[in-house]
Amino acid sequence: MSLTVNLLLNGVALGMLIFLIAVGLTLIFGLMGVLNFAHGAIFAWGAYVGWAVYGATGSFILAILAGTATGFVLGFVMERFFIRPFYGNHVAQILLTLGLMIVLTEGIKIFFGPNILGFDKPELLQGVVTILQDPFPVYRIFTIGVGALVLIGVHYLLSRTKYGIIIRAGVQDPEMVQALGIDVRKVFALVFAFGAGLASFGAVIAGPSFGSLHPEIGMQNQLAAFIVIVIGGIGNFVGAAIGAVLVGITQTLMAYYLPEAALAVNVALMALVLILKPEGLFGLRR
Amino acid sequence: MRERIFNNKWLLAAVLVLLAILPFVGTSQFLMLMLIQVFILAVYGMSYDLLLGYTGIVSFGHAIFFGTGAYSVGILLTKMENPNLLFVAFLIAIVFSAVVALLLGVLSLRVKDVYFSMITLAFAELFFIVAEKWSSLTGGNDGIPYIRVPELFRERVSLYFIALGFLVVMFLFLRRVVDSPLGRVLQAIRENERRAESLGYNVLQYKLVSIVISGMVAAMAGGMWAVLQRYVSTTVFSLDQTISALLMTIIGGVGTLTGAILGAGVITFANEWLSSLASVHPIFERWLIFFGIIYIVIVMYFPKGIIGTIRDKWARSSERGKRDAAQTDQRGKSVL
Amino acid sequence: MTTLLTVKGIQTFIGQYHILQGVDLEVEQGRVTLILGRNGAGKTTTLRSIMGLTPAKQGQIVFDGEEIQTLKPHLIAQKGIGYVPEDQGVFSDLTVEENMKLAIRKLDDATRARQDFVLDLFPDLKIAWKRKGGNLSGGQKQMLSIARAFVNDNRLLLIDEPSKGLAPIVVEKVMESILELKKRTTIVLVEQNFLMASGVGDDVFILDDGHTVYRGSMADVRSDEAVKKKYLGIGL
Ligand SMILES: Nc1ncnc2c1ncn2[C@@H]1O[C@H](COP(=O)(O)OP(=O)(O)O)[C@@H](O)[C@H]1O
Ligand SMILES: [Mg+2]
Repeated sequence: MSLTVNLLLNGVALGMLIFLIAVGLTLIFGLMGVLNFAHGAIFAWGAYVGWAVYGATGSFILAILAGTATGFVLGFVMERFFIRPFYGNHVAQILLTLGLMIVLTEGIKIFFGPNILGFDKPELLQGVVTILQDPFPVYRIFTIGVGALVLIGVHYLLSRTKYGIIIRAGVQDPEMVQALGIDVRKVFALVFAFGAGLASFGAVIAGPSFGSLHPEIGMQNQLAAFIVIVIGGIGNFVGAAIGAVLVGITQTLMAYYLPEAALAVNVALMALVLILKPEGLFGLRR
Repeated sequence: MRERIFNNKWLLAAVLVLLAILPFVGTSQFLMLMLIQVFILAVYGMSYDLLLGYTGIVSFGHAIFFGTGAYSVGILLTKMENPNLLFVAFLIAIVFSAVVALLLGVLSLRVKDVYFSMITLAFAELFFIVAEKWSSLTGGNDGIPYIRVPELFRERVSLYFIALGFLVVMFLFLRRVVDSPLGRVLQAIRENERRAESLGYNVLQYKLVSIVISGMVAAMAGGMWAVLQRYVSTTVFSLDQTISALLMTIIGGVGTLTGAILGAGVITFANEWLSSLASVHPIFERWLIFFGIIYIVIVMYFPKGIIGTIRDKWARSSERGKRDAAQTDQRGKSVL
Repeated sequence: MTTLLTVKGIQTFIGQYHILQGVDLEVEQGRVTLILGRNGAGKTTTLRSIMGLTPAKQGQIVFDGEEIQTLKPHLIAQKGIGYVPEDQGVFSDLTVEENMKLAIRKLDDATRARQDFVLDLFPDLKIAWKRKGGNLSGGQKQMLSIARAFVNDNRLLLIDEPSKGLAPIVVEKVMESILELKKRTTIVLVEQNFLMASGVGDDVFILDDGHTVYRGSMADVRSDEAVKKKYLGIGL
């Protein structure tokens, strides 16, 4: 029983991390129809910059700020100079973001080397607490807490503010939003940068949780996020949240009982959703 | 007529003759090995062009077919213990890949194009992991070493001609496919899927046919790769393997077939050259970043790739510039 | 009489297809201008070109003395044009309230007054205020879409086939409301159904195969059997 609880909590913690990556992907896709294959690479840059700043200053808060800013700037630049000329041209966008992924990933290898780097937890967040007679790492609780805060924050933003209304409307029909007199492009740029910032924010949080970084870390987590948004229904925020926790838990359980098949099960889950409900479990029919 | 040069039978024939006499003019073993690689990768690149350039489908899982072919041939040759059953191994590999392509297509082609790229990427990862973990069959991380192949396939010169013949046959076959009524429907789908649908074509079925043909050809290239290397490892399923198909096609020129051949040459030789510069400066170890940058520049500014761009340029400078440009546009119209 | 909107020989492409090949319109202030024509004639594309959603490659669109054919859609909307698309463009994930909130560009007293007016016109919307757009009936969606277009200080409303897919009794209601709105603004109404629209139209333009093929008053069309038969498919 307590093992199950422990695994579940681990699963939720992992789900929260995947969620932070998936939010940006799903919003960017839903809003502008751009599936950003460089999203994972932005995540990786956030993690590495966070790692470097943490190593240099010893301040985890600075690391989070620097990592997040990196993602935000990368996202902004990417939208402005690479994606924007190609709105409406899906093929060019897919190809472009993949090219950016290659360059960003290779860039990490040039700047930080191709090898694995250790990422320690800040002292304050080390150690374990006892939950139901079981030791549970403080950092996991921190991850869950941060993830929950972001979830609530983004939910508030989307459901209560005019920006949120514009974004939700834009996800469904950006053209109509424009026809109502709103400059959708401007919103696009912000959401792009915001989504990238969230991913790299999540990356700095994820770093110490994984314990180490390697250049392919972006692609791996991006795949999980892809699976999440297919399951949750692309462009759907709530779907992404539920999907992320689902995938996080499956992955953790599988990693414990049958590590070989962890990813296979998630891909199979995705295939199943696609066959039965191609618009995703919580997706809108379009 | 200069703009037609790359489709010109005479030019292609001349290149072919040149390549055919190359082994007899004291060409180094190393250069021949490189060219064999180019021939095989060119077929792989052309198979990708059928999807990307002629059907407008962006797959990020093309390595699945290459890898399936390579592993099938590698495993079968090892299990059958008779290298002369090579063609049986190929036959099984092709059929198996066709089934894989069909399944993959049925699972993922029903959704929008962007999903398709993502899903194929995920499936490619799945194949990679299966190859890594199912070590009783695949040898896991060690791969399949010492694949025994017929004598004819070991000897450099004969292998050179086999690979060259393979390229020529596959080129003619794919040329035939894209020029057939089927190929024209595929291009109609690329231009405007909804329009093709409203004209009464079953778009899904056509896309399936495209991916199955593409998958079979890529599998043959993978099989040839296994024969050449006499070794198969998980890299044949890696994302880099897919990326190389993408680079070859984009850099050479999408929707041209010949572009993929040129792209294969450019990539193989530039790769070799850049890696050899690693002793000059370690940044050259990361040669992929150069290709990444070139690739981005091409997608953004020269969406027709090398061949498409040259064609256009010549077409423009020729007397009947305008009309020919329009013609070229029709023929080599890119997906971008 | 002043001309609010002039469309001069616009040509519009969708992809490589030459959809509009010379469409002309003249829309007089304070009137209902009908655009008629059979299915596929280019009516929807004409409205979309005016809105800048499928920009015209050639020709001129002058709104209130200003050329707008090169402007982005959101700027065109801000000039004071409200658009009610063929599929109503209601955001199904947003409540009626949020749909209205999204549309309102500036929440001032005049806008509040217009909102009150239009909600009195369509009391259904008040009842469904907190309901998601996706859960509305076809008629309610149509009303919401019209309300959204009217709530801003728009001098021109483009309404695309509001009768499509609605029960006759609902259509009647919508047409009545258009007559109400006509007292306060100018309207371009696209209809395929001549009979439905004949009660509200003042001026008529008929499109066929991407061209303007006829212009005249409502009375002219009503009495011109040849035109009705040729372009509107109304035989005797
Ligand atoms: N996205 C598109 N791609 C190709 N053709 C289109 C597209 N949208 C509309 N068309 C064509 O443009 C023509 C005019 O369409 P439309 O303006 O919707 O006509 P109407 O509103 O009068 O029924 C039709 O022949 C239609 O098939
Ligand atoms: Mg219409």
